[in-house]
Amino acid sequence: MSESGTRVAGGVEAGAVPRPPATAPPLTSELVAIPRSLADVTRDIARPLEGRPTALWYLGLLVSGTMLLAGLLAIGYQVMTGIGTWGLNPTVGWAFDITNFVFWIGIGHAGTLISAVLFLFRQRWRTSVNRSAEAMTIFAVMCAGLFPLIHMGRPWLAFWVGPYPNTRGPLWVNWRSPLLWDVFAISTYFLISLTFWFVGLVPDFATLRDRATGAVRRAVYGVLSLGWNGSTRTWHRYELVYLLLAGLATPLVFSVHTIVSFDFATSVIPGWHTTIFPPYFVAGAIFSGLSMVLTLMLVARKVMRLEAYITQRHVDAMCKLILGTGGIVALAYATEFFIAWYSGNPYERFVFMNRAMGPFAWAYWIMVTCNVVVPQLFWFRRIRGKVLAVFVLSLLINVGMWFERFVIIVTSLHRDFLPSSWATYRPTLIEILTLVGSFGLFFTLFLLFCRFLPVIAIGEVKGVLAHGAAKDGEA
Amino acid sequence: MAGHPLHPVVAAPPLNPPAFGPLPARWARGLLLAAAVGVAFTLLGWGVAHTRTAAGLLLAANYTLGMGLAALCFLVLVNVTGGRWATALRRVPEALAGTLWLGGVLVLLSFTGIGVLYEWSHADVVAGDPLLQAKQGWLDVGGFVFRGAVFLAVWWLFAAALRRHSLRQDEAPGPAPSRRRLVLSAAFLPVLAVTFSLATFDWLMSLAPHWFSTVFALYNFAGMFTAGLGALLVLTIVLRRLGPLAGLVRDDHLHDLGKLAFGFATFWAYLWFCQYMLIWYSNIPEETTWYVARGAGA
Repeated sequence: MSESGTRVAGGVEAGAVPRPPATAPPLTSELVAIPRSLADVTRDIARPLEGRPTALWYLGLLVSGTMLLAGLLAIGYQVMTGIGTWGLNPTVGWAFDITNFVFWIGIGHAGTLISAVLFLFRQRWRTSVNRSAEAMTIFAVMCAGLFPLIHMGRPWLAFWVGPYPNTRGPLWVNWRSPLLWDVFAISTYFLISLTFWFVGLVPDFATLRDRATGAVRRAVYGVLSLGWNGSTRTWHRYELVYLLLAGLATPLVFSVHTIVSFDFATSVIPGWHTTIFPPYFVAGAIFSGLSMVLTLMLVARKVMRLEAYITQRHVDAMCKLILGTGGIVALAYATEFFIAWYSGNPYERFVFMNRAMGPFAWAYWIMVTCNVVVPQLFWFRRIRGKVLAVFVLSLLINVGMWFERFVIIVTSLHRDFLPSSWATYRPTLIEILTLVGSFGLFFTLFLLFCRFLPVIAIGEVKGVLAHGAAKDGEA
Repeated sequence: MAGHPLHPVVAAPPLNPPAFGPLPARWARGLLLAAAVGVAFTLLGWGVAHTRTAAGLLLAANYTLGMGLAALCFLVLVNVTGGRWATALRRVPEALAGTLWLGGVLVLLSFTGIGVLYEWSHADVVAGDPLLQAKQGWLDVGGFVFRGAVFLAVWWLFAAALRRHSLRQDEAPGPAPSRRRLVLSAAFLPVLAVTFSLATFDWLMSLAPHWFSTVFALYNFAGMFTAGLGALLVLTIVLRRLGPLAGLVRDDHLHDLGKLAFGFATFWAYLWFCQYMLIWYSNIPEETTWYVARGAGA
């Protein structure tokens, strides 16, 4: 894709499909709002990487770095002292830590959905958001991985989860345990997501290499761009690899959260063991992941002045996807409740009544409000058009999805089959600081990403410019 | 992705010459004959093998209804996602959704077999079964028939409205009917989710009234949609060969439909596996009975 210096007159669409009469609003809008030439696109997106960071960026890094530091101190303390520093007890053996794990894994689902599934569905609006969504996927999976690692109590023995010939007997890993399947599912997901992200970055690395003024920058971006020369043959190979990776990554969007749901659903605990868990967890993960992407995209759009690339149409499409996946989540809540009653099984009935009216009812109703009621506002175009409203609603959904995992994990455990072992749970400061630290890690990595890598896929956005797409119209 | 170079752009779609002309009258006669034979055997079976015929009628009713309903879901999904690729073949799922009334009539006819199909319909059986007593609030004949009639009416009304707005576009081109179809489709999705789930729990899951599975409705939806896509593909290919869609439906339409069918077949298999795996792994007798009965033969 060569750079063309010629500026294309605004709004010209040669050979485009006939437009409806001007009186009626068009059914779709442009993917890039303000007319931009190919050179403009490169300049706009490379600008934040080539200048000095703003004061706002340093402030952000200070805040997220502090959060990360607090988390690291908490982790250091609990590793040295033991996980007795948590609020767990024999009845509630999983709580805050696993909630955070599932929450972060869920956040990590939108990236691959946007980059792989929407690519296969030829959803062209994905080009403006896929790069940063994929980055969030990778950072979120890193945050998620932190929690089982700490949960082991002796994280220096973490390599024991790998099946390899050893001198411990030899002691083999338990292949029947969904926890081991998690190890494979998540590490595969991480590797493929990282590869996919990197492959997508290669043409943009070459652009940055060619624009670099300093020797260090040129060398670093030069190595990363793997000798990219922009020839037709290179593009052809690249696009084939990208398509194949998209095909490979699509089943992973399902497999990871399916296996995370197995951690719970293969048990015999009412509230955990239910067959709808796999698809319901997948939908919930995409729901929460898209909300997090939307939250951060709205901030990045404002701070980095990317309004021309992340347009109302992108916000609209993301809101609708959130509404759709939120609908599946709501259906799953309703189905679980209905079947618990329909089953006639007193334990099933008790768990769900206890969720809604027991000691953790407050958490349950936060979950229902944020995940079922709040997304319904996205039905209205006027609300989808208000950036501030969308931002607040997406934040609320993030909160709701954290509480969903908390409700599933804690309320199902704290009332045992034996009333004598009924207990309650309350997180300690150490647990809360660990969660804060994971947010610090996530935001620190995201800020570094905004600073050193193009947040929008330069090469791909050029393909959806009005004059780039005019040849074949819209299919 | 229209602008994407990976997707080959067919410059001029080759006009397929009609392979065997318009639908020969003998085809229609043959299909009507098959229907008549089917009706005759159903009536015969009703007297000779009552239980088996009632089960067969339930199966046929759900299968027929499922094709119409799947076509309706296809239209709804295409409208909601703004998929313009399916415009060329839209009349095929619209016609298929037009068979919903037939499926509805068959489902209503299958209700005549309630007494032999559903053990919860017998007061004496329920009286000796604490689990069925607990379900009496939901599983009773009056409520079952009433709910079924409401679900069928809602689906049929919606399919008719969608078709009306589609035909209106032929007379007055413009975006207004598209917009109306979009609003109707979006509004129908939550209605469909609830009605389809409850209909599946009623008509199919309550055949084994002690058993329950939360994913059952979604699993059935995936199966129904896959079957519907298969029917859609067959009809589209036949109509393309016969002439009406020749030159309109291109090879890449069939590729897209084929990929969609592949995707949903995989999704169905995924849900089948999830249900089986979780029930097998937990090994709770209350749930495993369903698979034990199905693994043991007739």
